[in-house]
Amino acid sequence: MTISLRPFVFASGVPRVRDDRRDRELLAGLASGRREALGELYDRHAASLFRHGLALTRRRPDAEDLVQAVFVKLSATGAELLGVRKPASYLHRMLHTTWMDARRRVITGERVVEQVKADGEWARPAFEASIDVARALDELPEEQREVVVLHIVEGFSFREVGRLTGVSLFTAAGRYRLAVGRLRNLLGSPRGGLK
Amino acid sequence: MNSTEVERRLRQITWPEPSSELRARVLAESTVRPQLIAWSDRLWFSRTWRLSMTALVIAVFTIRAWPGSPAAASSDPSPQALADAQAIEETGRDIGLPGAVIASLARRALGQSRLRGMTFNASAIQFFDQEETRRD
Repeated sequence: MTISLRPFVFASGVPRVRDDRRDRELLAGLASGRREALGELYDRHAASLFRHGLALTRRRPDAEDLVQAVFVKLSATGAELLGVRKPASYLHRMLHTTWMDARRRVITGERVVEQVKADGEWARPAFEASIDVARALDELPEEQREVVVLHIVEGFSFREVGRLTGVSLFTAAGRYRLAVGRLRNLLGSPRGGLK
Repeated sequence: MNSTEVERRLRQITWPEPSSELRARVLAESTVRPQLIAWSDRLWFSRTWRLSMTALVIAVFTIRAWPGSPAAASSDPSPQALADAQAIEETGRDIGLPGAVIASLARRALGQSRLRGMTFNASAIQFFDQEETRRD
């Protein structure tokens, strides 16, 4: 019996065409201090980073703060940018670590942060039928929601998702499988199983 | 509902865009200063240079490991070769050979041991045999 993992791992994501060469040129330009390179990088990646931020924070202002923090960090990085091979992954990893650092600071400060349920704030469905999907996605734990967004919406492979969230390929694929299973349960039950 | 249907519905979600003010905020907050990148940084972060260095290191190790290569011959003697040279030195001293001859024999033993397949200097053994016969 052979177990075919490949179709499950790679078939479900939406492959996105990324112009890594242009992104690398822009990063090199930014490293040399060209401000217009930062503007172009923002135009190319801000929307994607914002979706990732929304998946993590679930709040629009927090997601915007995260995106801003990423670009501010990026502008201060310097010559290290010359060594970046996959700029999109690099930016998303930066966003992930920024979020983790922010959360760690909140925890060490012993502030209890209530997760605000902001229905309809972070994702607006295009069709009536997908209202439940957005709400169901909101019910998932943060790490599962992040994998779903990065894989399905942003088109990263599980290997890339694993790298940029600091887990193995199999952990990323496992989280995705759990997330889809949970979404199936939520959407399959009456009223989508949602509160 | 199967997984494919869930994925299809997930792709139908229309995500909001970041606000238009965010771009201006990002550009205002970021401190981009014109700076000259040193050639050493360009070299260090160059993919070509890193690949070349990796290839070079692999090539050096391969050449050193290759049995007949000059680099392999010039490597440090093995513990066995050192023990052999020491034994020759002690034996030479015992039978009263001049120091220069002992040193020469030890050097030859070390040189020969570097070539694989040759365990001991045959001429040295012959020399010792002749010495033994002459003394008897």
